[in-house]
Amino acid sequence: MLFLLFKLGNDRYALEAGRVIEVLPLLELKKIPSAPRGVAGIFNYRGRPVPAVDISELTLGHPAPERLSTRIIVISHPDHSGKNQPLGLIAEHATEIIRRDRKEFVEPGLPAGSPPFLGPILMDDQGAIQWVREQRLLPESVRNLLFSETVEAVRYDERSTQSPIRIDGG
Amino acid sequence: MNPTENENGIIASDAVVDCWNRIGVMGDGSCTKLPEVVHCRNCAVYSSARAQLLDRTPPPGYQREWTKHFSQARTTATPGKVSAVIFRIGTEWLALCTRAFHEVAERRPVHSVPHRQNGIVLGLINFRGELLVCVSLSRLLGIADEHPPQPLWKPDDRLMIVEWDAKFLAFPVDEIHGIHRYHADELKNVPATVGNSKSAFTHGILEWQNRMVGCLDEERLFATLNRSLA
Repeated sequence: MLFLLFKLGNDRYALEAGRVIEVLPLLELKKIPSAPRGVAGIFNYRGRPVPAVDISELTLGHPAPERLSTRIIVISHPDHSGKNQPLGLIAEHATEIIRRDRKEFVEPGLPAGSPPFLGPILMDDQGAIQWVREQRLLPESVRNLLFSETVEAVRYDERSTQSPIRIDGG
Repeated sequence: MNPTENENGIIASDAVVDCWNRIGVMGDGSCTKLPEVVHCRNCAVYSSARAQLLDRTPPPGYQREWTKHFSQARTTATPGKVSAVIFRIGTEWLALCTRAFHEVAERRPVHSVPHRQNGIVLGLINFRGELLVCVSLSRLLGIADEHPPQPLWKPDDRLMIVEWDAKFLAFPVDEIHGIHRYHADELKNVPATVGNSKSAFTHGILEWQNRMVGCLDEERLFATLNRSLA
């Protein structure tokens, strides 16, 4: 299996590459006022508004620095109805992919109450890589907020030419 | 800003240990890791240096430019490309689909066949020990004023070996450009005013390097050639 690596702080994490649609450079984001922590904003992904979640802010509490290696990983994420929607994850050091067998990841036996997205761990010569279950990354409240909003925006757009979130060329 | 970066956000060169330039493949090759990794690009030191380069802050305008790029709908390359070999006979540039071609060979002596002097058959040639019929496309297509007799070894003078329906044929050309790929939409119709036999074998006109190239209809061309050999 192919995994896309990224960093949170100094630790490495892996996303299953099959869930990744595209890796983009850091784009300009439209901020969402009074958005919950971790929701960085909305960006124009090939003409449609897609929410971006800063993984670093979501889990560690500080936003990812603006670097060339900080990128937006577009994944397909199920919304409340189970339909896959694109979601941007802002991740640091998203520059490497590895090919590993699923069995090489070992369940670490995490204590109860640890974040639900943390998966099994792979050890290599540079340390540990932890599998991130991207479907459990967003807290329920954030997920409902992001995807119900997107659906609402599309419906509104169909009825009238005015869209709540206006997307233009730049 | 990190102290190892200059005002442009570029890491000063002394911050990167460029061992590949000194003891690696670009240097004297004395690195002890080299026999194991074969090339520096397989080495973890090299890839970590590469990752370090990506730790720069983006240059001004970088985000705006990419934001603009990704706000456009994805465009994919035009599919369904057709490939043809472009060649010249006399003054005419012609194209024939690539899959009809077997080989491009050097011009060689043509042995004339008795009683077949006037048609499109030029004679027989020896191609890899086999006798192939050599035909004249210029006579078939009615390309005016056949090029004047040339010395035998003209650099661009070539013999095209074509295969259609498992039948081999050869025909001489004056010049070959090579394989050209185009999209079916690029083909223009043959003007209706062109009324000679050339247009009967041409299924479209292709613009290539400011020249008009006639794309030959291989089905019709080979059918006529085979018929005239009978």
